[in-house]
Amino acid sequence: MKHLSILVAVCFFSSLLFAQRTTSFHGTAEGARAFATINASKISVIVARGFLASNPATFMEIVSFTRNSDGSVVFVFGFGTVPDQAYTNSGMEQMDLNVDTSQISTFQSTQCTFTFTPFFTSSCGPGPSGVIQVHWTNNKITTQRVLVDRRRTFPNSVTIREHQDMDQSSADASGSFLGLSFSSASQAQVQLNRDTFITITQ
Amino acid sequence: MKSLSLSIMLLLFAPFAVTETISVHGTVAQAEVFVRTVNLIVTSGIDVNGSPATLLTFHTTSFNPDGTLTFVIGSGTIPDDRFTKEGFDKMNLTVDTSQVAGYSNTTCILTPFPNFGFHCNPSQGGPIQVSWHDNGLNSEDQSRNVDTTFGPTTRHEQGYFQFSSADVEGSVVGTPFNLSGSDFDAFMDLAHFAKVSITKN
Repeated sequence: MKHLSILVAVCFFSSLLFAQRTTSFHGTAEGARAFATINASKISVIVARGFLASNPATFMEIVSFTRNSDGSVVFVFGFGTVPDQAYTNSGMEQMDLNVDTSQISTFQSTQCTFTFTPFFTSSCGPGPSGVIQVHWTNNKITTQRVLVDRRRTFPNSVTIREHQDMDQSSADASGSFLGLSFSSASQAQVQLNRDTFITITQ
Repeated sequence: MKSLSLSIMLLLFAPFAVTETISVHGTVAQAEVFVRTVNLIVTSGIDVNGSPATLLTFHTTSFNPDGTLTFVIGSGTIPDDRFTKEGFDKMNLTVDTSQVAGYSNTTCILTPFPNFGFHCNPSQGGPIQVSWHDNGLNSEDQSRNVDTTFGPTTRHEQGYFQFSSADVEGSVVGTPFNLSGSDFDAFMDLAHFAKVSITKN
């Protein structure tokens, strides 16, 4: 909890120093997400179809946390639009995402490293880019009707507000994340958004 | 004629369709873990009679060579002292569901193909021990209104939830796990103006 307090303080003062930017996406159709553990990294991928500033768009968000053996934590956060053809689906049964973020100017990522001993330090810079590839198969084991307003705060001055209005079903998922492959996600869902909003402020 | 047949069928089967709901409300403390082989949520609050109550739902998953899946499922209330909290930094669950009167223990086989379906039978249950420790990696506020259906049960969650990611370790009916450094697989929650219910259909 002490670590979190320090991170929150860093976020607060950073927000005073730098002008904030806001990106809003409106999800109105298919989407998917996957969470996986790859070695010492926990990764998540979210993709959805909808609108960005009233224009049809496909949105992707990636997050990874890596805890190093010395206790330091590396955090990567990326978001933006990807080409529509990068995300394909066969109804709600199969979905695929295949995109190389190094080739997309509409996608941005940040990487921050936090150390906690002997004292707290943080440094942030441009994040890594590369291929994000995920295949989802709807397994229908768990189904959810979701109406959620959520607010997430990440340790690089990023706040994500989401209004989720969707139906979702559990899925099997496998793929690769910036060069690291995973054979099975720990959690994955295929989704049908009715009226979902994602607002990212940084 | 089709309507008449349907009515007769409903009359025949209605007496056997038993729906059972348990719930807690108010300010609710909750801890959860979602990994590939274990899904568990323990929730403490106030029951419909105004007494403290603790709900526990879980399932473990085994993947069989023939493509079917075996779920060991538990659902019901447990004694309140089985779920302990040290502030909001640590939570601990220790219970043997085979020893809890009225607790529902079930084993289900899921056949995905050609016809998706759960085939369930009562089972024994067993020991569960899980420890959560706040890891400070992720915090999240959610106003939730979510219905989750898994096999024969539907879980309803409603309220204002504050989540903190946690490191977690333990064992659920013989399935061990140990997870640290995760921001999304395990949480400790505090919920206000909440209602959590579990309905067995």
